[in-house]
Amino acid sequence: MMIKSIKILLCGFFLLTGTAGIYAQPPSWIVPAALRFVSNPDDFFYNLHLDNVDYSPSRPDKRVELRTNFLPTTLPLTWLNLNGKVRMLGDGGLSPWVPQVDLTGAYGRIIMLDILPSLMDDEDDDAPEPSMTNYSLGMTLAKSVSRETSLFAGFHHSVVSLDIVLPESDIIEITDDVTLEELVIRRKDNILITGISNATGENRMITAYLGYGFNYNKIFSRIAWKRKHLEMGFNIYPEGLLVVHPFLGWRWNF
Amino acid sequence: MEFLKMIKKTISSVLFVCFLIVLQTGALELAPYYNYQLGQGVSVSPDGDWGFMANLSNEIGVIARPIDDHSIMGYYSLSYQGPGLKQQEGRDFRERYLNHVFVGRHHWHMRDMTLKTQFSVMMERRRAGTNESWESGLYNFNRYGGSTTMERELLGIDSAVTVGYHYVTFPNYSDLLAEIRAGADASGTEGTQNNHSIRLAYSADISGARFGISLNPLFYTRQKVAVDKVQKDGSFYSDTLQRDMVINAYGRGAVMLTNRIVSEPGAEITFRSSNQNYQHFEFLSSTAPMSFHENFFNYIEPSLTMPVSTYIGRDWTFFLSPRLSWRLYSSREPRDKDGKFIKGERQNRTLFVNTAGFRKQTGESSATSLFFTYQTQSSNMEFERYLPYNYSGFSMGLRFQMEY
Repeated sequence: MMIKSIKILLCGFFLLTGTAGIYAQPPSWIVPAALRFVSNPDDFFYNLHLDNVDYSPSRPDKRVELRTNFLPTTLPLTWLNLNGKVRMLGDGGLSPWVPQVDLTGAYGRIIMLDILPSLMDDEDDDAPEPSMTNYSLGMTLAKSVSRETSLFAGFHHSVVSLDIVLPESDIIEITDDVTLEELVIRRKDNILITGISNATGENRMITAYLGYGFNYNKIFSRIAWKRKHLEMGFNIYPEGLLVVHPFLGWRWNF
Repeated sequence: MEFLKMIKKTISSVLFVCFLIVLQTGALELAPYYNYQLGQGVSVSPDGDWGFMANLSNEIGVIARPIDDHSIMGYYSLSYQGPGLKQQEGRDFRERYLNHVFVGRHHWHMRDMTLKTQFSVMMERRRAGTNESWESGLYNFNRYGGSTTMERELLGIDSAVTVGYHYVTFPNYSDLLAEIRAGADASGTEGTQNNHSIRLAYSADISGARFGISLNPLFYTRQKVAVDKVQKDGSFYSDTLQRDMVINAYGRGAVMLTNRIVSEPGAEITFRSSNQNYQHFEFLSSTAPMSFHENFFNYIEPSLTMPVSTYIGRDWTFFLSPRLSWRLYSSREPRDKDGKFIKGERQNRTLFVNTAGFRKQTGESSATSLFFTYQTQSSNMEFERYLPYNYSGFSMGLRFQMEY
């Protein structure tokens, strides 16, 4: 069934590229971009994972924040996600210089990949079971430095993982003792975040942060405009396949 | 991995110091500092290719005053410069840079002088494409060192005298071609770019203008000087180690042209001299040099800047920042299109860069700029197989800044 899926994908690919070729030459950036994706596929998925997660602190007047990202993950990739922040310590709670402390976590998975095997299954053959998940765990410290401005820093462990479990009929026997039953692309990184938030009005805020991933020397950034519930902005991945990812999210504070 | 360990250790040390400071908070005055900058746009390279351009920088620091007259500052900066037009000669436009800088500084305010002492670590990583590893850049370097500046009135002039030392290492550097030519083993050229760098500087404030001069000798630890005769070991390198000297002098000052227009014209001149020479090989695989060039790296580089800011209303600023510089090599001959040296001429280069744009203050701590940069360089160097010497290009985009 895996071979069947690959055949369908390849047919689709050649159909699309062939049809496109009849009418127009593909743009010149397509080939370099495709090569960059092939040489480093995990980086692209990791960037989408970073789109899902917001590393800025929660609102200082609320204890819990839940957030989900719509674009570019839930839509169009069906990558459902939830980002939670819990304020453990308030800004200046114990001593004037003790910062706000948030524990944060995020989880997401691509639903379409979960239902794909059931769509592909037939009586004779089982389909491979792919799944794509992401999670993040960490802590954020925030300190207000004026009535409108606060600075923050955080440390987070972030993981994105693509697993393909092969059906029993497609398990590949490499030797008598060694079999290939599962393909896993997993990228883990520890991220340091530093940033700034500026309140521009009631329930309005601009946030900017820069992140650095230790394991891959990865640098990325986010600029977000936040309303009471709506969040929008850009993620910047200077070395990414797509440098700018616009995003749209929604949050609830309790 | 060494780099990673080094960063982790340094950050851990900084966090530990911050933690200790937080424990002592009751007795301390603390002032944080943060600056975030994102530049995003497109640049058009000399061959007409458009490319995305992204520059990011992030600075975070804290100033503490543990005792009267003493202040301590901890500072960390992370910056990324992406591909685009480069102003420094010899830089590949595809190259991108990642810098970590850690600084610890102490200020001691005495009755009639201030003593500023700082220690710093800088780690720069370079690569020419995303398919390369940051860890394997040939010119990756680490710089460790410090400096002390004394600020006081000397002969009635507000003056600053600085003495500094840095050790610069290039952990990946090796020159394989030189090794092949010399018949040396693989370790023959490793570490040959490592150097001890000393800095002596004097600057003065005179009627609101700043003038300064600095001497910066560099002592290479392993790089030997090329000579025109084969030595006893079969190479073209003598026993003398390379020494460079960079002398820089500048002057600049702010001028209020009207109550809305401010300019800060400046002039600068840099002299670079080195005892290093250049052996020219016709092909990469040649083992016998075609020609020998003495004082190949010596040059003079004067430059002029004339930034002008015009304040429009309360939040808007129009800025214009032209810079013109010349580099005149004292002995280096330029090369024609085929790579042959042109006898009797001296290589030179003229670079003009002008950035213009609007800046809007969008909040208490945020600002956005729309900028356009035009850059043109001309040179009598016509051999451009590896690096461009005659080109024009531009970049444009948005720059977003948040600062506290």
